[in-house]
Amino acid sequence: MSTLENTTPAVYLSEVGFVFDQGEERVLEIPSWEVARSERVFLQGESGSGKSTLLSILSGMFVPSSGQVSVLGTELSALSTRERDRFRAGNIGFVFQQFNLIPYLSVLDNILLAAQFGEIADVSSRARAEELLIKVNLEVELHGRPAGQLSIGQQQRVAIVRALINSPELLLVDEPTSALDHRNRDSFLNLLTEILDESGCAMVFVSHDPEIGNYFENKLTMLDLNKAVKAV
Amino acid sequence: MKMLSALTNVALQSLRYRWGGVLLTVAAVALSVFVLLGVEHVRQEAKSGFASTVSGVDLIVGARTGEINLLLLSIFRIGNATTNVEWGTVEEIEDLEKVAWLVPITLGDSHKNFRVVGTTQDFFERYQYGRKQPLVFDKGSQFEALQDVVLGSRAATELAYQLGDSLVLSHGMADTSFTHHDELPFNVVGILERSGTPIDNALFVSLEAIDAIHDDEKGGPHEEHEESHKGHEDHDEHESHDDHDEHEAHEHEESHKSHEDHDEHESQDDHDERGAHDDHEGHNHGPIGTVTALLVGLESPAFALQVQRSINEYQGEALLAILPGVALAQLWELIGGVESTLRGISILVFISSIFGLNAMLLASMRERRREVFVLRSIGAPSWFILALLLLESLLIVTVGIATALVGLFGAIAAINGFLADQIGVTLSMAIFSEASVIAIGLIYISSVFLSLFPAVQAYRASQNISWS
Repeated sequence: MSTLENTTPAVYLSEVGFVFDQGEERVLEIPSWEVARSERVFLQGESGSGKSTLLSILSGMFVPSSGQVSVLGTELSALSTRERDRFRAGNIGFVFQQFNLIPYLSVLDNILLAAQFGEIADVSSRARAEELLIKVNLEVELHGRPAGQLSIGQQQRVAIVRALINSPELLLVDEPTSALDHRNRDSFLNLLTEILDESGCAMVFVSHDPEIGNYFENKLTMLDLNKAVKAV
Repeated sequence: MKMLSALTNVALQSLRYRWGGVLLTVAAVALSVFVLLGVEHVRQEAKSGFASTVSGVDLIVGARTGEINLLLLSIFRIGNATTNVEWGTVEEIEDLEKVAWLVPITLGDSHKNFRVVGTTQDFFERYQYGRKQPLVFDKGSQFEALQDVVLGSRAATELAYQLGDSLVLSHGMADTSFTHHDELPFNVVGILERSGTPIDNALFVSLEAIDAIHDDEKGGPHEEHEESHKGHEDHDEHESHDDHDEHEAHEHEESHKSHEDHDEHESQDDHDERGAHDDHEGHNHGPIGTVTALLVGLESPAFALQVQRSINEYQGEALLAILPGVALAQLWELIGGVESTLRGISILVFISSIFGLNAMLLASMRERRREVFVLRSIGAPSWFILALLLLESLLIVTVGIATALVGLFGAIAAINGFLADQIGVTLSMAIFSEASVIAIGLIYISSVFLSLFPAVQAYRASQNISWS
């Protein structure tokens, strides 16, 4: 699924509502929200504020109960499940809090599997993966090692490479630094910024930690965004 | 194709990662498949082995007993005769119009746990097994002289006898008989080729030799004994008759008379000699001048029922004639019940192992929720998750089946010696019969079918999986 023109926003939400089951209270209610191409947005929110639900909707794993969700110019609710899977694989990169990788697959296999689902896997994928791994300072001898044997910091760097292997136009990042100490956190965020500067990829960075917002120009809270969240 | 390769790689790595649980599951599947295929193979082998133990014999005749008893005694040499057949009766049966040939056999002695069969030279020409395969000599030839003995292949191998070796027979079948016929040692003159039947586990001597080694039991003059078997030799048309029967000139009837005189009893059951026999350790051959059973060939198999009836209605003594094919089928029916039960148990064992496999997959799904989420987030479709679970269970079942087959080959090789010792039958290595191939196919189908349960659960879970 290719994206439309670059003038369309990376993320566009309008009157989006979400309930897990009919009759239950809404967990998400976003009147309007837009993230421009190449824009990096920091979204801060406490537990239960709807961060995970929002990311599930943006990735196409959940379909909103109401409203319009457009990612990279594609109306997600108009796609079938399989089409959303393909769209996600080809256009969106993910970095999670931890347990980012399949622990029993090697570092390279983790990355190449994502390339496989993104339908861009070819003979050059391996070379590109190795190039990116070197760029994130992961030693060559670790490339064939099972991901579960790496430290959390090393796993996060592999996760960045995996997220970028399909050259996505949107990166969804969920609490990637919560398991890292300050030094590693800074190192990770600097690396991420550096790579995004090169790729020009848009990013939605979600965290409960307001301190991380210091790395971003564009920041907002779930309280601002999600009308279903009541301030305590 | 690339996706299939990726799927296989993920499944293999996943199984390797969970090797502890996987190993136990493979062992459970292998064990159950081993039991299932093993029972099936033994059933097939036993059935064909039983059916091919004897062929070309139209009737087996013995003193009245159960049909299966007579079959077991005369062909498998299992059990003992309660009563024997008088020699006069043997001659009368031989004289029946439709009878083409007749081979008497007499049992009761042994050599180092291998049974000794007293018979005539005709035995080696008439006895057939499998698809009318004749007995073939590997070395030497059939017995000619009184002290000649022919060995079955396994008896020769196990006891390491060669042509020209000397051996002594013992009374009865006791493992450690103290009563040996030292006075009449035998020379090995022939060794039969392997037949895969109880023939392999026997030693064959002439009827005259059996009588001669029990001469002492008669308590009478040696002459009487040898006279008693003039009739045998007439029947055998033994060419060397004159060589070892120097005391002929009595008629057969006279030999019986001499028995009766010696016994001083009218009834055979009250025979003094039998009483003397019973005192011997494990000794159970019949009185001298009698035989244990007769193998009978007819002019045409079509006469079998007619001749069977006339023998069963014989007034001279209580006889039983059986059709070997029918008796073998009856014996198989008897064993078939046990075999069906074993098969049922093995199927249950297999099903329980597949449930074990499913339990392992289901349990692993709890810890794999995050893994499923990661796969889904990078674009793996839900069918990939379903296929991953199915492929993992198929790989486990495949390794289990392969392990079971290797185990089965090993077990057959290991058990064949024991089976040959005990029942004279060995199992072939050809385990891929039509039935076992079908069984393996059914194992796969049932594994896939039962694995669908955890796989579909994983599929559904992957569709509803969320960021949280």
